Amino acid sequence: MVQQAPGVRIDGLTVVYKTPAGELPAVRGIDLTLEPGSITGIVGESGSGKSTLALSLLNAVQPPGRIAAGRVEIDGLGDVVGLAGEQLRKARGRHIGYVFQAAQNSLNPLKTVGKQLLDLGRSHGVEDLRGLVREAKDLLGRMGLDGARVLDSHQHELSGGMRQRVGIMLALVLNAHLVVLDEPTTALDMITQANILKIVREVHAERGLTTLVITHDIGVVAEVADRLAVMYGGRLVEQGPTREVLGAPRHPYTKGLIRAIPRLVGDIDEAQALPGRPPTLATVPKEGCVFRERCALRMDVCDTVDPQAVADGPRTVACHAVTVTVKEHA
Amino acid sequence: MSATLVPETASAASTMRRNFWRGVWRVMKRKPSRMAGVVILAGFILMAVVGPMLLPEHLPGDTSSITQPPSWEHWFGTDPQGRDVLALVVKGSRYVLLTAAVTALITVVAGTAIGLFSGFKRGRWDTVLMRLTDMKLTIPGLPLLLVLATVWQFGSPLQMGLVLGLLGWGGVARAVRSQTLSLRERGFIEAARGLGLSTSHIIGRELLPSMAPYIAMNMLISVTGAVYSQVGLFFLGVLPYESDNWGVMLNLAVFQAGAMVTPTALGYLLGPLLAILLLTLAIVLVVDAMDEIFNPRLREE
Repeated sequence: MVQQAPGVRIDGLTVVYKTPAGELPAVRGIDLTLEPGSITGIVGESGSGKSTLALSLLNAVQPPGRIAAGRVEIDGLGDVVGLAGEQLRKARGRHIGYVFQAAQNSLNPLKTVGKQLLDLGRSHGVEDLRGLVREAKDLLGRMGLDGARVLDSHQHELSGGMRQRVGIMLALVLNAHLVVLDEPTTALDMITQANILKIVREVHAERGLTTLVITHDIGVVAEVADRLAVMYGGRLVEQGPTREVLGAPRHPYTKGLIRAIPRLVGDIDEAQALPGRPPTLATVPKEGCVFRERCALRMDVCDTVDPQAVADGPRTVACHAVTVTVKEHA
Repeated sequence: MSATLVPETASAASTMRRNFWRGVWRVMKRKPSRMAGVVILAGFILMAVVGPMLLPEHLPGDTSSITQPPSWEHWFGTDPQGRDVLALVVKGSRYVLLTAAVTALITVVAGTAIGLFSGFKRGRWDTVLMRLTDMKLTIPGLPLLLVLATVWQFGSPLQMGLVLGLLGWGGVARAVRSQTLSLRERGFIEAARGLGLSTSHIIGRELLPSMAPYIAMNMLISVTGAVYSQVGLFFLGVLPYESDNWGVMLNLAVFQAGAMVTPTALGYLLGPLLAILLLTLAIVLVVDAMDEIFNPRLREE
């Protein structure tokens, strides 16, 4: 069965968390399209809502959080937000492979990897368990591991990079064609990082996947992603082809992020941290631009009006200052 | 290709199972004390199951030798009716151990089920069940048992075990709930959910095994607890003397035979006391092995 890489359309997605201060949005009004066969990267600071966004692709936002509005259309699956119970459970793993944040800890410490693989197969009603084991061994071999040995190992017998690869294997082994990687290289050393990213790219190309990579590391995105989306305070502030966004950032937040990266050559002081702190769930402004407190281009309109995401060719930017200049040039 | 894989996967499963028992064996062998614990425990169980069958329904009393000190003929001496103390201990063990087993079973099953459900579901069910548990925990056990003793005779060990079990599950439920709450946030549970494993699988195959050493330990500890409370109740003399129980023996030894003042009755007192001591010791020694048996990391080397 040859499956096509599915496209994903996220439309007006809002996820709220119930707190003593009422329901506060962690992710608000996100519009994002993942083209079939593309690798999309989402970057943002801690608490910007990246992981919440990724979890809503699985409709797996845990209480006290819930998806308050919007749709997540996945080809061949329909609107995930409307799925529930068995249907949803079957979709996870089979349609959508998810590699969890800190995949190093996402293996059961009491069971061998092989046992967990069989559990996964049985849960999804796989008849040919032997084929599943073979597939897993192939995948592990593909990622430079000794499949038989890894399947016979407990979690504590594997290194961080190996566990990460096992996580990727478990996400792919049921032939899922939409893969979400949540912080795939966090807490790994540079060489292992490079290896994992190479594997992600190669597997993506070989199997014809649609991949979403969540990270706070712009370097990771630059390495693998075709498209880049920048999140801030639960909003998508800028998106577009990776090269264009990184080469000529428009939103002041993206500019600030890129300016904050220290360069290998030149003066170290050229790297400048963004002033201020990212907003938390409680402090994120209810109206107006979420970034205005830290923005150099702040205008009066930013206090009251939420900037709309304005498309310009393949790119979209949500910023009043940018919209004004675009209009002036036009 | 697939033909060669058939024996491979089949043997993989069986080696895993074999590994478990081999691991248990190794854990036991590492410390001889654990072995001793298991042997003593097995001895007690054998004694409770087989012992009373070998002895007559009513032990023969020898009126010519009442309240004798330990001798070669009667290892722990005789009671005021001239019955052999050792035989009385053996007869009493069935009541004591059966009660303990029933108590432990009820405590662990009810406590684990309520704790797991509460911790995994959270929300409204959690609140209701935990308030119920708190209420249960505030019930003072001993006074309640004394009151119940006026109504029921506790002639059957099952009845006794049921009451003790229903009084004992609160602590386990609380502990299992807190374990569940902490485990359910762990990465591998989140991953299991994200990979589409069913809830029953997550609870039964991921959460429960992680708590197995904990639950097993609680089970054994509630065995000792049940032994103490029932023996205590009988010793206090609030229950009728008809039952064969170590507590009855202790009571009679102290208040009838006067073991505190007459050295000849010392054997009558020591018999059941030594039995309780040995049983507790065996359980402590076995508990020591539990953690290593269930933790694959400790099982190695």
